[in-house]
Amino acid sequence: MAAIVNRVTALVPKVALPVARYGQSKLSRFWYFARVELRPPMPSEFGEVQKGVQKIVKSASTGAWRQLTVKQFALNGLVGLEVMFWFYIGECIGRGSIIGYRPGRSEGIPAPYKYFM
Amino acid sequence: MATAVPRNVSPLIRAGRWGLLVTGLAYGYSHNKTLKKREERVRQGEIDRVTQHAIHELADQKIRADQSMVDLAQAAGVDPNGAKKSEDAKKSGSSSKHH
Repeated sequence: MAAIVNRVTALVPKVALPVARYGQSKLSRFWYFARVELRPPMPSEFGEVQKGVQKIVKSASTGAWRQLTVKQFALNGLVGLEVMFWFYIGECIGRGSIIGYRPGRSEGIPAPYKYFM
Repeated sequence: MATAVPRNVSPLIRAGRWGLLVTGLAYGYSHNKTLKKREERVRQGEIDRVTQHAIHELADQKIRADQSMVDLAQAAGVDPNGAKKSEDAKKSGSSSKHH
């Protein structure tokens, strides 16, 4: 046990820099895409948001959604599902646990596990 | 994928994502608070029930102990209510009955 701990503590300073650089490169690539694709809508874009909603409502009311190709319909469905999933991610963050509400049970369990069990 | 360029996602989708994220956050927080309140009441009820049970247990224990003392006195042939008098008599030096 002591040998393992010693080996880990000897390995950490050697490994830390490459791990940090790897993480940095991945993060910077993610940020390069996210700052365009995931940015929240600016007030100047609210008009387009309203137009998009009206387009959806009109397509639903006139039945134009039946004229879509199957591929386009499936893609739209996937995008809609992804947008729905953000609600559940927000719910997980708001209630403070990944799986289920835990109003009274998390007092006896130490820190990383109480957000899962 | 090194030549991939970020694409302009439509504002509707972005608004939907962020709006639903914030809504989910608020809903999760508020529902968690409601459940915590309910759980607190249930827990208080449980604590009261356990306390009452413990009190009753102690009372039963005392009753049984007293009853066993009375039974022992009767088995020894000593009158339990007169035990005090005979104790005083013992202390003053007279011999007890079952020797």
